[in-house]
Amino acid sequence: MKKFNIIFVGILLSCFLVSFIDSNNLNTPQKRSNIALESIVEDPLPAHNSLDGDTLSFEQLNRYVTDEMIDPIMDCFEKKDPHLFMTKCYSRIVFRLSSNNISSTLYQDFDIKGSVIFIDCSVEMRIADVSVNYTNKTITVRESFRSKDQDYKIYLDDLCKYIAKNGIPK
Amino acid sequence: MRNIIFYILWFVAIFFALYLASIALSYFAFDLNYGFLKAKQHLIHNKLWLVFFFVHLFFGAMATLTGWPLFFSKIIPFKSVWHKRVGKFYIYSILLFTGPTGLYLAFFAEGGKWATLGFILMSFAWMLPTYMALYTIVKKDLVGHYRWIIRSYCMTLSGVTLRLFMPFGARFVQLEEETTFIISSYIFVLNIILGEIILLFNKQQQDNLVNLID
Repeated sequence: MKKFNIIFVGILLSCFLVSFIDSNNLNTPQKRSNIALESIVEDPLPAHNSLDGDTLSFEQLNRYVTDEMIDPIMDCFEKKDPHLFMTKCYSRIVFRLSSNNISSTLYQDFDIKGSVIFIDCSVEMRIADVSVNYTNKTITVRESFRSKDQDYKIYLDDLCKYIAKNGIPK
Repeated sequence: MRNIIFYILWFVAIFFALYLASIALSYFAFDLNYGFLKAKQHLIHNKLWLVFFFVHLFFGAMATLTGWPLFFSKIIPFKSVWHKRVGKFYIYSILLFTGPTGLYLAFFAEGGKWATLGFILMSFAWMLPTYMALYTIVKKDLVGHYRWIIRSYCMTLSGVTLRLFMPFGARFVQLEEETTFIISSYIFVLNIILGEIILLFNKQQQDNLVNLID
C-alpha cells in the first residue's frame, strides 16, 4: 500500500505540474467563447425602444423559426445520428439574423433575413439562408447562391430525405 | 418490489455504462476531427494533451466496463481471485490513469476557469472514493469497501450524467455555450447524491457482507 501511495501521488503531482507547461485556463487571460453567443437569445433592439404594434422582438421571431424549421431539422439529424447532440461538447442548431437586421427594428410584415447555423462541437456550418415574414407566416429558404428560393416545408422534406440517404453533411 | 427496482436501476446503469464506453472507444479510429476533438483543434498539436486525452478515454472506458460486474456475485463471485484481479484493474485504471489524466485535462476544459475548477473537483471526487475502496479492502473492512466502491462507480458514471445534461442544456433550456459547459462540469454532484441514496436503501446488502467475513 505504501509503494502504491508513492506511485499514485507521484503520478498525480506530475499530471498537475505538466498542465502548466502550456497555456491553460488558469494561466492565460480568459477569452469568452464567441461562437454561439451572437444574436441567439439577445434581442437586437436597443433597450430604450419599446415595441410598436407592428414590430417584432427577436425572441418571437426566433421562437417561430425554431418551431417551424429548427426543431424539424434537429429531428432529421437525430434520426440519422441519435447521439449527435449527446456528446461532451456543445452542439445545436440556431437561427441568426443577417448583419443588416441585427441592429435594426424588426417588423412583422417585412421579410427578415437570417441564417440557420449548425454548431457542431463549437464548429459552425451554415445550413441555409432564410427570409421570414412573420405576418404571412412564411419562411423562404435559399440553401446556396446557385439554388432557387423554396418554401421551407419543401426544403425540410428534401433535406430530411437527403440526410436519411447520405448522412449529415460535414 | 424493492428487488425489481434494484434490477431496473442496474439495467439502466449498465445500458448507459456500455453506451458511454462505446462513445469513448469510438475515438480510437484516431480521427482528430471527430466529435469532441472538433472543439479542440487548438490543442491537438499538443502531443502531451493528445496522449493524456486518449489515455483518459481508454482507461475510463475500461473502468466503466469492468466496474459493474464486480457488484454481482453471480457473475464474478465476491471471494474469487477474479474479483480481486478485475477489482484491481478497475481501481488502478482510475487512480493511476484516468483520474490523473482527467485532472490534467481539466486545466484545458471548455468553459474557462470555472469549468476547470468543476472538473478538478470531479477528478478528486472520483479518485477519493476509489482510493478509499482500495484502502478499506486492504484493511479487510468489507462493509467500508462496499460503501466506497458504490460511491466510486456512481462517479464513474458521471460521464453519463454530463452527456445527458449537454443536449438538455443546449437544446431544451437553450443555455449559452459557456454556461452549459460550466454547469456540466459540476453535474457530478448528482452522482454523489445518487451514491448516498443507494447506500441509504441498501442496508440489507451491507449486512450480507458482514456474513461473508464470517
